[in-house]
Amino acid sequence: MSFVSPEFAWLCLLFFPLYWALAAHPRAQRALLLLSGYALYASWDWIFAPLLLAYSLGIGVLGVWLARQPHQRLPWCVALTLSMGCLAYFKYAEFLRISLLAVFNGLGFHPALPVWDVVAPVGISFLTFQAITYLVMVARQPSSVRPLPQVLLFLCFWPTLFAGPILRAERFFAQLDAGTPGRPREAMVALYIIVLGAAQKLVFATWLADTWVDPVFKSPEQYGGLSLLAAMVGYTLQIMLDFGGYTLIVTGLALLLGFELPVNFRQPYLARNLQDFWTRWHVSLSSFIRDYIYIPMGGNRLGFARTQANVLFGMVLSGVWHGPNWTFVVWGLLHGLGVVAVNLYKRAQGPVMPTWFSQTLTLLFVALAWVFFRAESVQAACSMLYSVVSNEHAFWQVKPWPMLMLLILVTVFLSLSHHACALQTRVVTWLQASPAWAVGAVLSLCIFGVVALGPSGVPGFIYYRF
Amino acid sequence: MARTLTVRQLGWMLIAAGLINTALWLDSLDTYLDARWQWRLQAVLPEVAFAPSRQLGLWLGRDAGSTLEDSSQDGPAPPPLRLPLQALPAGEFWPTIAVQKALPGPQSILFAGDSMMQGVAPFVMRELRQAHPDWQMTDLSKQSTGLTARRYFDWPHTIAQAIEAQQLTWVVIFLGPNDPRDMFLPDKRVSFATPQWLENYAARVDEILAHAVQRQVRVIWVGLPAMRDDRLQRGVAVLNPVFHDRAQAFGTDYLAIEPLIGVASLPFQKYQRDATGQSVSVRTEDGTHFTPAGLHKITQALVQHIEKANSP
Repeated sequence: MSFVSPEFAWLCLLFFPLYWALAAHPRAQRALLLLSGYALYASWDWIFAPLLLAYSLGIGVLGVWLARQPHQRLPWCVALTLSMGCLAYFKYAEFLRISLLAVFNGLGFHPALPVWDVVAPVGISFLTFQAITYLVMVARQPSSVRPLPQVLLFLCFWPTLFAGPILRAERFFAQLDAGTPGRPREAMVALYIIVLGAAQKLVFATWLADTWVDPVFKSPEQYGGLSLLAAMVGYTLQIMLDFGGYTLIVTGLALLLGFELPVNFRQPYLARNLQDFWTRWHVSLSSFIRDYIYIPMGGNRLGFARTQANVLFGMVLSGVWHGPNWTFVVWGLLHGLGVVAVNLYKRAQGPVMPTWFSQTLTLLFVALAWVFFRAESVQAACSMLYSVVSNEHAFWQVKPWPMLMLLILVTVFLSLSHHACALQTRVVTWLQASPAWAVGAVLSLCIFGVVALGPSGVPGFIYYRF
Repeated sequence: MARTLTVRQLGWMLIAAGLINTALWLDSLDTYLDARWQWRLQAVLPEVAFAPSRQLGLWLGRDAGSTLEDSSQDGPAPPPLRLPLQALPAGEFWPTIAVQKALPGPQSILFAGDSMMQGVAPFVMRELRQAHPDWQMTDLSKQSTGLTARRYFDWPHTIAQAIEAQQLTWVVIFLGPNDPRDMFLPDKRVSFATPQWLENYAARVDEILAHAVQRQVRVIWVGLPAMRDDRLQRGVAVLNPVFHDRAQAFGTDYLAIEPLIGVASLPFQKYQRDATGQSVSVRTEDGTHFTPAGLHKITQALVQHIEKANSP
């Protein structure tokens, strides 16, 4: 069930009042949260719920084992193998088989490799990383091990279950221990970001997808160079509004549940270089890779060359995490090479660029890399990029009104990015000072506007695939 | 929390905002629920409840959601659907019908259907455009559509409009997974796969074919392959005979992709053998849509079918 579907909205109207009513009974409230997580997960496919339960129980038991034998290598190896093994099995087995077949075929062999006909549970990549944060937490501090019901609750916490942000165990359990959950936190902020996220996704990201991105990426040969560039710019904005909108919605929902989620976006398209970009884009993933992979590999402590190798490895891993496709590998590699280039430039003490120039350069690079992220194959991405300069259609042949709308949208988005925090503060302050009926009226009007300008049906989120 | 807003107030505020928007969008929600879950609010709520949303729909220039009735056909009456439909023995499928020849000159092709066609159409268009740069091709495919929930999306009307507007020579149709479900007629609900359902469904197929045939537009109806989901798999066994029978009745084409992707009278298989004998995944994880390898197979079959009809 999508977070932007009418069914979900209606269920929320029943769920939240009941959830808040149970605030004085934490056990019952957590049981309701647990049940709602499994019900939502099962709404995609009922078979996913027992899989999640089995996985969570497994992680819980491994946590207990790790806590009892904190200095042994075996529990840690088993825990890591099992938790990552599930991800590898469900998500990468077929990719590995096809890649191996290609290698063998190239060598003249035609072995019959077995096939795995499995369906990957939704959000398995996010789930696995969250599970790892729990196992690492217990391995580092055995006393932090949690009883099974709490582990189950952590791994089925529905705001982060499907597409993140990756919620670390320490952060979740700290909030649980502090006793803060149970009542809405910063309700006006929650309402503001939920409506903002819904508008970003349903109105703007969907318009970009329908008008520019999907038609052009589907049949690039039908369009001139300028249209191809517009589609690339459109996708750059679409993925931000789609994933950013999703994150805003779930962050707002979590606040209504009484939980605070990690920040996932910090106006990434204002980044001054690629290093800066990765402190702003999908922060929960990039910080996970930094803390759980890059730093344990040595980080920047083993010399310049080794640091760059670690950066490249981390970025490629970040790409592969998105899915079993070479397009993601190339996307990660491009970003890795970009970050290495930034490091080399800094080491060479190159002149400091003007802010506007470095921001534009970074945004152009990011937009170029998104072509690989969006395309069906590396070949299709290269073909699209080549078509921008070499194309049978006239370069300037473009639909004027959609083009104008795109330019306006990009300009407004980038302008507002500078003032997003200030805008949120002003709106929230006004809402907090207003009587309940006025807030309700504004909320109703905003929902009405989003539905009126939104698409028919329920569009999917890009990051649900991962 | 706001200075004046209690949890109770917040709860009531959310409920009020939800109810207000439900009332204002009731007609659209009814259409959505019909298409998604086969629930009809019209069956349980009084007509007056829909008045605000219908009025609003008129103001916003949206279809107010009036229940559409099947329009009458303007062509010759075709032979009626032969009921009961014949069940196929395991391993068999409804064969391809290739009886039409293309009109001479550049072709104008419309691709219509649901998300399956959304996957296939770009590849077919690319292949055909490389071979015939002067051909016109349009892809109108739209996900979540079919012939059952006509109120949600009206394919007979859309295709008829396209035929009139674009001087088409071919229409290629590939749809079905959204159709194995009950049908809501103006006065009643008709259960899936009953004789009455089949008659009504066939009438919608006929409406498309009759309009096309009368305007000398060739039609290729692409049959459905096996599906992972049991409900859809049973649906394929009901829909393919209808598509095949109506194509035969109107003298149009039916393309069976079952031998390439998976025979519907056999259990679902995600993998098919390729030319080198290797297992290749042709279906995505949902067991309905196609991987690039599956799309390639369907594309080749469809392009060959059209090229054959285009050859002298």
